[in-house]
Amino acid sequence: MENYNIFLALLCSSAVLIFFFDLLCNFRIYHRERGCLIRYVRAFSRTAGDMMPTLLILWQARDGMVDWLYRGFCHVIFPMLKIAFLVVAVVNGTIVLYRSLRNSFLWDPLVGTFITQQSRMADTEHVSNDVLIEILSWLPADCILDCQRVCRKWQALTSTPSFAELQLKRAAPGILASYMSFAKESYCLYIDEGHRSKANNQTLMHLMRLVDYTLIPPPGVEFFICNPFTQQRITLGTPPRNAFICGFFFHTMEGDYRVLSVFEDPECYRYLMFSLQTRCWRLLPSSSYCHPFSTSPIVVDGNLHWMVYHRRPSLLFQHCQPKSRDFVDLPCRNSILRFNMLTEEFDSMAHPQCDCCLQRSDDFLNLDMQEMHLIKMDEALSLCHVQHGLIDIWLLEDYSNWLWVQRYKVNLKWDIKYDPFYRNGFIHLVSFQNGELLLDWKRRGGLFGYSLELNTVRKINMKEIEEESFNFISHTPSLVSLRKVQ
Amino acid sequence: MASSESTTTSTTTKVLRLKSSDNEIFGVEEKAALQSETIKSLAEDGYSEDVIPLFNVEKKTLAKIVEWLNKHASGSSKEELKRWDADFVDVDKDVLYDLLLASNYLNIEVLLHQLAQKVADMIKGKKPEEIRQLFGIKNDFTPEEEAEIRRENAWAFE
Repeated sequence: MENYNIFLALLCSSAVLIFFFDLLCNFRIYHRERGCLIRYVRAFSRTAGDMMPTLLILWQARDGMVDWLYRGFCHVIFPMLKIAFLVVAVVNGTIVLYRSLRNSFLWDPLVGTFITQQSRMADTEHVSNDVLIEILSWLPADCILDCQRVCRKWQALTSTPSFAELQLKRAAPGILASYMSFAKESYCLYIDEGHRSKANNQTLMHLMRLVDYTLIPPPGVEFFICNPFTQQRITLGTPPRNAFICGFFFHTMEGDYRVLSVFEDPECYRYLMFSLQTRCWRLLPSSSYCHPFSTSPIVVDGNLHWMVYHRRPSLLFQHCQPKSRDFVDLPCRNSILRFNMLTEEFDSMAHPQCDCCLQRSDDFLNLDMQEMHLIKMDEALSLCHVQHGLIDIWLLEDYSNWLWVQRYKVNLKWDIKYDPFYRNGFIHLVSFQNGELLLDWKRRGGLFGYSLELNTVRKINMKEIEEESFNFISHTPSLVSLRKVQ
Repeated sequence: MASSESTTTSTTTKVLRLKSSDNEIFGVEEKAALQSETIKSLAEDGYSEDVIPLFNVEKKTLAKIVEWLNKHASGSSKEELKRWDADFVDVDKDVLYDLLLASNYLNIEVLLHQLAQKVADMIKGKKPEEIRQLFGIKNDFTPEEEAEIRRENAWAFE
């Protein structure tokens, strides 16, 4: 066995053999001493294209033939290897491959297998880091804090920005209740299915649901973005021109958090954009005719969406007559205001069944639209129309053609007939999460979950708080840092 | 099901032969087998006519994996798959661990996610000391460091 020469190449050359790729990404092995091409490998070209994760282990037998021991992607056997350095040694005919971390893999040439030193779960010393990351990333944020106290390795693995991103992507959303007070003591609470709640004393005046994990409370003086789970804050200062914050989003292309604020111009509404990267406000050239209300926008397909109800009287459509001095109701075909992150332009779109405004009396126009709520459902834009205990749920199935499909019809009447207050009960749709529609139904006494699968309503139990005074948002506790930008 | 050399399959469905580390051969329909990225890349590299050697997977684990691959290529309804998967991952710790490593090695993303979630469920709600016991981990923090982490995260443990 000791007569074999073993070469290991990780896209590099060795003393005797030269491994190289030609322009067509074919892989060749050149024997320097003999001055000839030993192998020309076409099948390999596909993997060579990726460059990074390619691992070759070759050996040279007594007869001079070079053969593959192993070829393939690195991650197949060395998931975390990527660019780590490998050392190879021969011990009693067994090739020992070391990697930079503590794991070692043994190759038995007789049997032709890798003998890994890994064994049982009660020996995670040798579990590759990416399997551990895979497991830990499915835990909720508070469990991850416990895991960080287990050992140094676990702490290191769960403290990276990429881990935080992965965990956020996988975590089930929860509910954040915020309490607004004009006294100093305002706070927000995580509601963990009613079993437990965590209070954070914060001087928040008001909370808007912005993105999943970050909030902007707009108090009179200063704006800041915070991750309420880690309590990390970044102060924005006061937007110029008394602008009102109307949107907060993560610009996926730029890898940057952005804040959108709106102010009134005599003719229209103008916008300022704040970037966490540049830390300054900039005036956008585009404008809109209607005001995006303080409800946070729903971000789908690189666009922000708000329901809008009014437009400025000075910019009326010719056929509409203003009902009040200041505002006029918008026609249904312009009832969804849209902002494109990339082009930074506004336009307006129709809600489903947008001929409805032709059929109803003017008195109800406004009210009806206010009973429409935008939420996100299965990654698509969804519109919930709440009318007298009935909720029609539309899904924007084809975004580019703006094609709405009615997906669900929720009837709460059977459930609320025992409830004398329902008639006046305004239902606000909070979100759709974990298979449930979350209904902020204050007149009935708080927050309710409606299961679309089982058609059942349950009250979401909250200890220690009076639901009446709380504002609910969907929120995923996360360790994501606001400073990780880039 | 897992069996060596299924010769009865029609000519239209291609069968790939997978060899476990202990040299047992399993015949799996191509459609089912290609759910594994590793098998896919090996098949593309010209192994498809040959036996595909899976060095890191033992016979009993590979049998389970093949069972999973077949089920997920069978066109069962979502609900049925959900129930079936819940049963599939309901195994003892050691089997779960072998499956986890095998699905990582074979790069079967869906299965890896299911298994990792199952292990995560075992961690959920446990105190650091209990987690160390479960995984046989030594506490390598100094008492000062431990106190420091506790202090940093104090807001979460109120």
